[in-house]
Amino acid sequence: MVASSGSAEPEALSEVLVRAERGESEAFGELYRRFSRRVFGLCFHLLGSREDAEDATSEVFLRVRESFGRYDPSFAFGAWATSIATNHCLDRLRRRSRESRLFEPEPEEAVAPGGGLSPLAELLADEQRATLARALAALPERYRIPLALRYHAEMSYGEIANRLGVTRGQVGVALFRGKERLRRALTSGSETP
Amino acid sequence: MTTRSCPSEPDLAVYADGEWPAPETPGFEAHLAGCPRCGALVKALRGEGRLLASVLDEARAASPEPRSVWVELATTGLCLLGAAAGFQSFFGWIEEMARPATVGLDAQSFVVSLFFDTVFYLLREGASMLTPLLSAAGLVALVVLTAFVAFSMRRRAVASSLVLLALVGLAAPAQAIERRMARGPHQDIVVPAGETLDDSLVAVGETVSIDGVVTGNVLALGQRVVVRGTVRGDLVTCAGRVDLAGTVEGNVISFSKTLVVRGPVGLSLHGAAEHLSLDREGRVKGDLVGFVGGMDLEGSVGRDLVAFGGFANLKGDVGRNVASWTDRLRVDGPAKVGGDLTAHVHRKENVTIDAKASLGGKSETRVKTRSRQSRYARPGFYVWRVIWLAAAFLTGLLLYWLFPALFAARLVGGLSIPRTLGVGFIALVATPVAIVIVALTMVGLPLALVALAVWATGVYLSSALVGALLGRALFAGREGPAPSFAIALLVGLVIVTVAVHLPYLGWLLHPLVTMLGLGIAVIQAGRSWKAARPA
Repeated sequence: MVASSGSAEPEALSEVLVRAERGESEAFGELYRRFSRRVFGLCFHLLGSREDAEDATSEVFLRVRESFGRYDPSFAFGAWATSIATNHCLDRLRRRSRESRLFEPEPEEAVAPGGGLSPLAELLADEQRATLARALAALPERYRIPLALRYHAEMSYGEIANRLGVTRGQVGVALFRGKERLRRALTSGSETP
Repeated sequence: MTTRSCPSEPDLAVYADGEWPAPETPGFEAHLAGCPRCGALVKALRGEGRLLASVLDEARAASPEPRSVWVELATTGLCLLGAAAGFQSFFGWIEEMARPATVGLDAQSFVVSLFFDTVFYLLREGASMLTPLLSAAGLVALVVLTAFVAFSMRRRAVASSLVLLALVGLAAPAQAIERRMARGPHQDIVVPAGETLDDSLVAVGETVSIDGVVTGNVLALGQRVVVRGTVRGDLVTCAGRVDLAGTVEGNVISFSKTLVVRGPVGLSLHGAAEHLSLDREGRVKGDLVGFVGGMDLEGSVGRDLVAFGGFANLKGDVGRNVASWTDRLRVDGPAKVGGDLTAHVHRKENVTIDAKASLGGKSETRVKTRSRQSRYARPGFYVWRVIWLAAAFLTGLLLYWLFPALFAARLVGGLSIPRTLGVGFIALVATPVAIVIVALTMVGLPLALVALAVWATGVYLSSALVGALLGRALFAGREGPAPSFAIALLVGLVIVTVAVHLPYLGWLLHPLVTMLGLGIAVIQAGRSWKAARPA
């Protein structure tokens, strides 16, 4: 049962992709239904606003349709769509800040060895998860974006560094700093109910 | 065994993410195998990564899904429904105005006369007080509108750019527009022959005469406006009598008791007048659209002629089509119509077309019979009211969901009806004036369009606001728990809809409801703006 549904799904997706390649509108509708949540989620975390994320999602699927001819079927479609969404959102953020660099990276050596707070426990109470979600949304872009690209879009340090125009080391620093801030937010959040 | 210090936490974090450079990995792993502290930390860091991934995923699930096709369709449908209801009311009103079969032409002329007389009495008597009133009311309306738009958008960037735009729009007339205002009650404003005004002109006076040249647009308000010279831009005028003997190279928008055109108009002419005449020397290159008591056309219209109102006599040339919704239409001998002629009348004999008149296309007379019947006897009237009610109800709910603060007003305590009506009156009347003035400045045009949209939306939403207020007030006096907002809104809206469509009384109640609703919107928006502002 599990095996059959598991094998039926990618099969169906490849069929959808074949239909999309033939230019069938319905196939693009199906792709939207399957991947819009994922794309929307990434846009939401990158842009930090629901309205912007909705706009971005529509635009990303428009681009998917326009540039479908360039899609290489040997790569996962989800990853391709995610990559288009990332480029689109980063472009938007750059336009917003009117700077070619998205954020001013911190020097690599700026990280103090051994953070003061221990890593967050994998299992958290619902209330704490909600606090964490809020803290994530409130993080400055310089930390939120690398975290979203790493833990939501599942990109490697190299890919993130490429997209953001920084070094791999700087990506590591930003991720570490971001997580440190989240830890702090959660400890102070639980201290003051 | 050599003493090895433990790797730093940032390094361990990179390793936990599987990003540690491959050549150095074996040494790292060897250390981890022998160091329980670092091993535990890497394990915890990996757990933290999984936690972040799942929270990010959940946050995505919690954030609303992108709007589905159905929601899009429903929203579009709702908008179309609202627009259709609005248009229907608008055309119903026009038809009502131009319905002599029941009201009689004399009665209609009387109403039109009364309307124009009242407006021009105010203009004549109040020319001196008009200037400060216009500036003050326009300024207030503009600031309120800008604040409201900015607040509704709740985006700092948009808000600040709008405020900036408003400031530029307000500042611009000082440089780009020449203002000439009458200082006494009987002072005339003249641009003498030979003078060239290299600006736009706003002129208010007993008589405004333009004998020279104005290179920009002209807004002229007065008892009499005479153009013998040249206006290179558009002419917008509101006056008892408008004489256009000179040249207007742009559009003419005129609101007057009498409008006489003896010279050329470069683009289109849109006029509301008790009597409009286009003399033999008068030429309108574009369209002529007239809302008139009567219209005599001996000159030429380059494109279409559209006439609403009492009567239209056509002796001149029309380049393309003629469409008339006037009570009577007469096409005399020398007239030439390039395209079709369509007359909408109540009686066939009200259309007279001379055999000598030349028609390029076909001529058609459509006789409207249904207007003879009272509107209350038509089923369509009720269907449209119900559609309108449904649209207003859904819009009200949507508005309540988006901006609950707008509905915070209560009839019992906290809301001063006269004050709200006063604010509503200013918003209803002064805003269009402010929009026209702002639109005349180059940079003000986008702002004017935004303001117009906000104003129209406000007028449309005013009945929903009043309905909610009324519904809640009704239930407030009742024993037991208060009903939901939707029920109060529906009950209130039904009352408002019935009230504004009562025979005779409805004509009085409708503007009152609109003013009250607009007043509530402005006051509540102001309050929540104040409350939302950081101290």
